[in-house]
Amino acid sequence: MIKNPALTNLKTNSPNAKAWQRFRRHPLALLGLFLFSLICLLALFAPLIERYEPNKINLRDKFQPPSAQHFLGTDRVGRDIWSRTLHGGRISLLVGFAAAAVSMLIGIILGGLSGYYGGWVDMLLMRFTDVIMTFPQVVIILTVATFVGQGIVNVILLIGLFSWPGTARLVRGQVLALREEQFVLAAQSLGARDSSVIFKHIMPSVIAPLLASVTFAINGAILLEAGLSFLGVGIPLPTASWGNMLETARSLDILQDGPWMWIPPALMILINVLAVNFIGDGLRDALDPKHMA
Amino acid sequence: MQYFLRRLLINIPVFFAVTLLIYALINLAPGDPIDFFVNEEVGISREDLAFLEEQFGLNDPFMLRYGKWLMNIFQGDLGFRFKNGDDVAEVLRERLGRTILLMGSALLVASIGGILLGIFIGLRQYSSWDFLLTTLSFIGISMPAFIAGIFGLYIFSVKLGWLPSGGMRTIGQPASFLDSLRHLILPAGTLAILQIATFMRYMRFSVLEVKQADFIRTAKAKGLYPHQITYRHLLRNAILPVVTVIGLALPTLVAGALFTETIYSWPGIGSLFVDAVLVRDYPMVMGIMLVIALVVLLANLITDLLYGLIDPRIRLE
Repeated sequence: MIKNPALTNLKTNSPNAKAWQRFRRHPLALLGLFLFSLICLLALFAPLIERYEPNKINLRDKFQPPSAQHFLGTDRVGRDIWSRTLHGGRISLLVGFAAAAVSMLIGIILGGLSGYYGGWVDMLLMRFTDVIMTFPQVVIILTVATFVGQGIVNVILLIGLFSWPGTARLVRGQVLALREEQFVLAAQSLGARDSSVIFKHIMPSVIAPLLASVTFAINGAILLEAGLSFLGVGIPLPTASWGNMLETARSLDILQDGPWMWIPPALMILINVLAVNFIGDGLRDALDPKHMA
Repeated sequence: MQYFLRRLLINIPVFFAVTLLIYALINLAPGDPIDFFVNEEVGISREDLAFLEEQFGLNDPFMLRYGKWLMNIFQGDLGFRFKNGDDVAEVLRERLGRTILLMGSALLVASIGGILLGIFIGLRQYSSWDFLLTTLSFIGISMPAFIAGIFGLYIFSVKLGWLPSGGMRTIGQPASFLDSLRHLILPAGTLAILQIATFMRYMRFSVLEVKQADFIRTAKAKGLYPHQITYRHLLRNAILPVVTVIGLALPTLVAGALFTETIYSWPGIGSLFVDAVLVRDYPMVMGIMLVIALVVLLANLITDLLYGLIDPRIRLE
């Protein structure tokens, strides 16, 4: 079969292929992608890899340093640290993805409305955003978390509910720029409803710049969960999360004499956040409209 | 002048909205302030309960109660702690200075260090220094305060024994500057890591961007010496956007102080907040939230004003 040169050319020139080419040129972004995939796979297949049940208490083997049986050691009540690190990853990643999804959804809706309608809707929503942004998220979430109670669902909702301002501002800016475009006018004159103009016609063009901020939202959520659990108001025991495993290091005897208990979750948080930051940075460069030509 | 006034006025409604948010949030909390007056063993009769509720105005409509609270705040009355009856305003006055000392030293070290390093590698793009520091800065921005704090405590205090593990000074020793400094290094360093990395990245980016500006080419074409171009034209303009970043770092710094103070038992408002939240000491929680909001708004305002002052173009917007 004779290849049509124009067609092959067309294929490599699609914006997605070009973005991927630019992404691939980032060694750190590729490293990040590799590490993050590895962590996701470890978390996903935790039940197959683990050698002990993560929540199984075994007082005969408590406070064991790393050994052949428990190769990351055990905690104060004899639970296997390796299993708990794997399962903690499941919880941390779940919270990361789910909370990022919640905050993205809120941010896209509020940012979309604000940018499209402008005027007093914009004024009101943006001042509301200012108010929420006045507080560091931990401060508000910590306050509310004490009276809505602990638990995975609550942690996800709380993080999502107070993390959207950045996204809303980003989306607002993009929509503001796009709403004067011809294709928006075309959709409006065809009688499309406002909701359909905003979310079906404008939003697809906002996705690219938003993609990098998704990665930062995931990171933010993972860090918030870890931080809350570290202070004792996040994921309740016995369920393992990286944050509540790290919390054990707050007592001086464990910090001093049981470093195997808190170094694994600490490193996992660090590597995970680093990997996602690498990916986000690569994505931002790859999808930057300035390079799109 | 108009610019400065406008920036100032915008912040006033935001401040009122913030107080409303604080009040509404705490109002969602279950339980009743009355609970703290009730002796569990003796109990309380229904009539007495109703009397107390009436007396403290708990049956008033929400907006009226909010209004009363706001009036009290403007008179400097923040109420009393549930935990031990201490005057909230008094406790805040005592603790705020220590947190400002901690955050101030961290911010000072971070902005000087971050700006200098950022300039250094910005002028040497693609050198091995650039590669090394950029990679390190990635680790820096990925390092939350609670992990930096735990590792700092473990390495420098537990393992090496170089620095004290917490508190503001050694108990049983006369206060000395050196002793206080030794206690400050770990918490302030922990708090500064993230900011150094952030400021460095912005500074580097800014230097690279200004390097390509037309006025730099003009300066070169005029035949100015390279160091004149760098110091007079490039750096002056490159530092501008970084000023904003430093001003906006405050919420991050406050969040970091929560963890840093808890880990190193630094007796400021960060550790106090965590403590108050956990025992549901709501007057204290509200007081600290109010202070945080005020400080953040003030920092935003100062950043805006400073930016308008050094870059006149902004004022025309």
